[in-house]
Amino acid sequence: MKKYTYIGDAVIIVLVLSLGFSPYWFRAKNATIDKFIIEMNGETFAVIDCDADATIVVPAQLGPIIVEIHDDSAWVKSSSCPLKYCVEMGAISKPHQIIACVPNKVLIKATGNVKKSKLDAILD
Amino acid sequence: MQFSIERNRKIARYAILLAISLSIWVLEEFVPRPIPWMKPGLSYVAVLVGMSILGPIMGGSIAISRSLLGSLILGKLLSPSFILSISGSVAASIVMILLFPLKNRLLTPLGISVAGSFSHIAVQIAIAGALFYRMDIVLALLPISTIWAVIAGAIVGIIATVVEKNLLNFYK
Repeated sequence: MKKYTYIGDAVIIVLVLSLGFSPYWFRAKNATIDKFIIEMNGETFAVIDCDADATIVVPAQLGPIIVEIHDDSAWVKSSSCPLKYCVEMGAISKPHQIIACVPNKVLIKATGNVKKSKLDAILD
Repeated sequence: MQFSIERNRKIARYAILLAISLSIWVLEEFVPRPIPWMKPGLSYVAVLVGMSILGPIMGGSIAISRSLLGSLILGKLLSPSFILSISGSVAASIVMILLFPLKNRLLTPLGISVAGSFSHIAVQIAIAGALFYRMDIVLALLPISTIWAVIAGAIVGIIATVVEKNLLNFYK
């Protein structure tokens, strides 16, 4: 009876899986989004890391605005403004995107460096 | 003597293994699959068995001959799917030939098979991205394909281990 060692097999399977999932890894590394900045009345109210898991209550002019940050994206959960455009805007997850609540004078900005080109596609 | 019994025996075994590998490959081509490259790859059983009976290089060349002959039979020779298939087979056989010396010391056929099936699928995806599609789109297929490669490679490796053991007992 031959004695098999399975250490090499395990190493190969782990190596293969890590290689196979490297696209996700690279994508996570290349994610250029960095921080969310919440501004109120033109002044910075809070700066939150994009990978934080937070619910922030912004004490705005017309009443509280609830901002949620989760999984590199931020959205307004509920707002005190009459038209709720900031809620309908949905989540932002890329640099230089903005959620604005005009009646409350609140801005939520995503910061980071933009590397991608302005082109949608290249045909050759 | 050039045409010794040993040599003839080797040629005959190579032909038998190639025929088995080829027929499994051609039949697998008709199995429906959700993702283009999601084949079970059971024809690699013959390749793995061939590597241990005939030596790694001769065994590895079964994979390449199988892709060539199989595409010829199905009328796909020199088509895009043939290019993908042959590049995957070349990559898989190179990786398996390189890993073969470690067999029975660090690796079982299972490890060799998983490495081979992953290199097959990864090279196929890379070639598909470089020649036919966009690289970022096909790279999204890589994680799913990897899971499949590990499962299929493990199944092929286990079958190859069993077949090899019984076959070697039969010959000796």
